[in-house]
Amino acid sequence: MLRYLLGRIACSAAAVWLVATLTFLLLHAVPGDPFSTEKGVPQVVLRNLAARYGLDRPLWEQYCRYLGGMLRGDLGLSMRYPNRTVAGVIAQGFPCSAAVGLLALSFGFPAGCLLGVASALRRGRVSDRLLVGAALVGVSVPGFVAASFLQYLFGVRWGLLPVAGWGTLRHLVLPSLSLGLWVAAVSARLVRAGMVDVLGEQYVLYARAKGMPGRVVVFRHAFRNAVLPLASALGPVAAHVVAGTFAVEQVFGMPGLGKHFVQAACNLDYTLVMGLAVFYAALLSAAVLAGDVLCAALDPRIRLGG
Amino acid sequence: MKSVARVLAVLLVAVLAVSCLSGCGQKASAPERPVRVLRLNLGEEPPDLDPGTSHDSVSLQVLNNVLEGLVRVGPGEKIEKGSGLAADWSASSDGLRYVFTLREAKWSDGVPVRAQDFEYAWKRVLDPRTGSSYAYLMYGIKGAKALNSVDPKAPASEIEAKMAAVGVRAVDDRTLEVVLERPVPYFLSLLAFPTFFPVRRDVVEKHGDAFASEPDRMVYCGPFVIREWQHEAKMVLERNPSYWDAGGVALDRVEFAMVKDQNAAVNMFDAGELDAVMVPGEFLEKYREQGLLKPVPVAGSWYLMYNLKKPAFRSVDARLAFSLAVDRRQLADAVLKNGSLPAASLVPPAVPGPGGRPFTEAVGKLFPESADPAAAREALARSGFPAGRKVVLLASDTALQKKVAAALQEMWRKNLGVEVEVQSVAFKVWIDRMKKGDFDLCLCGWGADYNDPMTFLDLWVTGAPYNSGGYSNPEYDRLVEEASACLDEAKRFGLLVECEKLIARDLPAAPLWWPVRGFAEKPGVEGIVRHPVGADLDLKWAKVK
Repeated sequence: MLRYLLGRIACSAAAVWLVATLTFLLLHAVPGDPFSTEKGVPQVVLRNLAARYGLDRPLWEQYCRYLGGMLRGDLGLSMRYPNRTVAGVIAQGFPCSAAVGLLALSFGFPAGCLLGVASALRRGRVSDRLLVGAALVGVSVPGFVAASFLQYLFGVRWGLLPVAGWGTLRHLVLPSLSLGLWVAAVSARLVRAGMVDVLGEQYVLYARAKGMPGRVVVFRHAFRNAVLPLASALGPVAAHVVAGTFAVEQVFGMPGLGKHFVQAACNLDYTLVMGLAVFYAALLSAAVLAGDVLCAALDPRIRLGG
Repeated sequence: MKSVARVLAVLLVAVLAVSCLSGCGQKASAPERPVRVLRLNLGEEPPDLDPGTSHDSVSLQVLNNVLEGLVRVGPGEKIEKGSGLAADWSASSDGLRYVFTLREAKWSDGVPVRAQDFEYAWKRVLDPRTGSSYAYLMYGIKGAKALNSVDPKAPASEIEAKMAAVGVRAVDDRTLEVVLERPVPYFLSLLAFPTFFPVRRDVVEKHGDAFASEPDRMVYCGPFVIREWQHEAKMVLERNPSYWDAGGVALDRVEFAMVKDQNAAVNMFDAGELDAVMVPGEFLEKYREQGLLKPVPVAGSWYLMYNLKKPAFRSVDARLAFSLAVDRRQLADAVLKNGSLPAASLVPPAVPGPGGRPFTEAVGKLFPESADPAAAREALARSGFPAGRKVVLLASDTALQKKVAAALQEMWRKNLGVEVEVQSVAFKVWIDRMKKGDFDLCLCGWGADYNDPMTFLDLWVTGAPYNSGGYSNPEYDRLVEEASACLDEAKRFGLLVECEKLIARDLPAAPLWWPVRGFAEKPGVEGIVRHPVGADLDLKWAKVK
């Protein structure tokens, strides 16, 4: 197990390095630079700014300096926010995105699992059709649509919760609800599909024939196997939700990481884009690894590394 | 297993309960607030609160309220002696030398504001090592361009030498002398811009790169101080008791939200969480009906820039044809729908002309509101434009520009019979291609740097930085040169009007529309001053009932 984990961590490190390198090359291949604006910024000023950030050095030298800094934990200064470090921007934005993401996961997953199981058990009946339809809607409706709708309903129409902003527990509710609905829909679909498969297996039939109570059959035997597809999807879904979703954060005016992913690219803020790419790659690798370990824990047939 | 189901169910209920409980109940007890709070939306996190390097509109809005320069532009765009930190000033008859006498004023930490703070600040902006984007605003000062052009890696002695030759000098603690290279008629209005604000040397040296990154890493000399700054989330300003005119400030607190999404901001306004909000086009009618709308003129202009170096637009008749085929009224009313006005000339009406009247009154209507397809086709035929030639329109990829580009494409197809390919690219790519001249037509917007027609007209001088269409007319250059040095106001405006007429004749660009911003304010809010140019938000005189 330990050897497997170490091997996986080495692979993740290589993946993160690859992401960093590709991002670096792509950024420098795009026309434009971080400092040009529509205004008449004279060449002189552009040159002074480039010198300040080391952009006038040859490309390989910039790359080595950047990698060296990254290994030391220094991701550089943001070019758009000249007084803030990239690490600082990430450290400030991540807790907000993570709080909302974790809250969304904590009720989205269980809700989705319960609904998926219920739906599978009533397969073919009206209630199943309704649940499947609801899950489909939940997955298809874009995040900002759900978010705007909830914002209007709870914030403006009924005035129960703050429309936008950040700071109190009440600001957490609507964004995590918007995200959680999507998580629940995804989970419900995966669990239902898994359960439908498993419930048709021989050993389930055997357990029922033996006279085991329905609930024991479903939850001790069937569910554990049905939840495997969800467990392997858990990693990427969790990473996606926790790292910050742009649309929901934009609608609710949350100071999370989501908008930085988009804005940094639009501003061609080299250091911030690189920092965010590396951060997300590391987060995703860790989440996928956790998902794989969870799968192995659930299903003894899966031998890690075997 | 029963217990697993139970656990899951309990977990689900618990999480929902916590969410709901945290959600209900608090609405009844509203948080305690001091009297006279104004809640506004900044829109996003201010990237740079260092007045010497700041160049984005968000940061400038904050800076104008927590700092002050020699001059503070009042409501109605008046520049008066004593409005800012300069109690009095005198200018030499040739307009090359100004002497400012500072009033008695203190920074928020009790240290007096001195002329040396201005000298240090201005030289710091011009220092090539600072990398200030707006250093060029100071190029009218003697020795300024020379200092800013030095290689930042040059030896310190060379930079210091050039710095000593710059025409800014603190004669004593209260007197600042400024010497210009050439007369700048709008120099006084420039001084209200944050780039010209004073900066304390000891504070900058103490904090280095972290200067102005947190509220306690800067000092304030304006009507407010920054009390709290939650990055990306919220900023709170409080009245500055050390401000020289603290008695004239009617607000105790300003709370800035940082919500970028315009719809969310409008929702917040409707829900009572904001006292004023910028209104996107779709909502203008709604707030106009409620009587809450305040339109604010913007000193900006949108136009089509032609590339005179490409075969398509070498002929002035071709340029005329494309301009005549555009229905500007339809563009403003049906496509933009945000209160913008069809442009009759390049310089917008928000910019003052002779006698303080809008400059457009002196210029007259140079471009028609409606399209003239017959005249357009005639002009196109005269120019020898080959049938079937394709032309590229470069635009940025904002929703607005995409709509406009599509509308223009349709107008040219219908009125001229010419196929135009629209290339909507990301902003940074657009800047790059625009500067390199990689376009036949380019959709451009320009905002005034200072409140004078010259900021729009000197764009077309031979070799000017954004004259990438390659317009070059020695007669035009001469007019601009003469106007720059002219001290007689009437004569100068006359020359500037001639410049507009030349643009309408030679068509390096075809003006399209003049943007307008709309704001909704809750009843009881008054005194928020929004300038059409420069640092546009001024809360010194704002009141809340």
